[in-house]
Amino acid sequence: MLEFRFDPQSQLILTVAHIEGPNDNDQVQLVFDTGAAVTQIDHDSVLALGYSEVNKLRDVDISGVTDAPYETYTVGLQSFSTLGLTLINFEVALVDFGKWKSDEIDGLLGWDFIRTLHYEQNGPKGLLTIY
Amino acid sequence: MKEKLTWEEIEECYWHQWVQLVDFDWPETEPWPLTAVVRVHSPDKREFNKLAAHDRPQSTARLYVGGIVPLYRISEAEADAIRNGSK
Repeated sequence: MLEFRFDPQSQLILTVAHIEGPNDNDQVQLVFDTGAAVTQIDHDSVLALGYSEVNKLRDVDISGVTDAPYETYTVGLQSFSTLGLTLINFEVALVDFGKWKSDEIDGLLGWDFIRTLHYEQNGPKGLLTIY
Repeated sequence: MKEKLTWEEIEECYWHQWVQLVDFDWPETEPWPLTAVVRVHSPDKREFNKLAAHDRPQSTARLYVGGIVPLYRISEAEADAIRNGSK
């Protein structure tokens, strides 16, 4: 069992993720977002690690409630680790987060990752327990 | 060679800026690194991305100073104390 702490007064829950690329690795901050179907990471951050369109797995349209669909593509990250879990060849969508005001984050940890967790969230206490 | 700074010093110098960190000591039990060297920084995300990608070292961390506190590990005893209201 892993216990994590977050700020119960914060509007968002952020998690630090470690991502590895063909050349380099980086730690990025992602919003814990069960409303995002797929995990999305700032495309400049991912490209800087040595990924390119050559690594494209598929084209995707990211749809929000109010925005027009955003056309992009996915790559499989060699290694993606956060919240005590490491996934190999984890598919993420590359998104230009500089286009939106949410520019204090590097992306969204989506439901495709979160669904693999057995977790319990205590919002008022600021606790996230992973079993 | 840039100087290694404590997190308090990084906050003081780079408040509300993106920073790329190298040579950092960031235990998973801490929301922020204890110490790190700031390689590049900028308040503008796009400018920061350009700086961070140029001649980047193999292992880095990037974050926004003054942003939301990210999840960090605590012990089961500490979590129980928070649940029970004793902390």
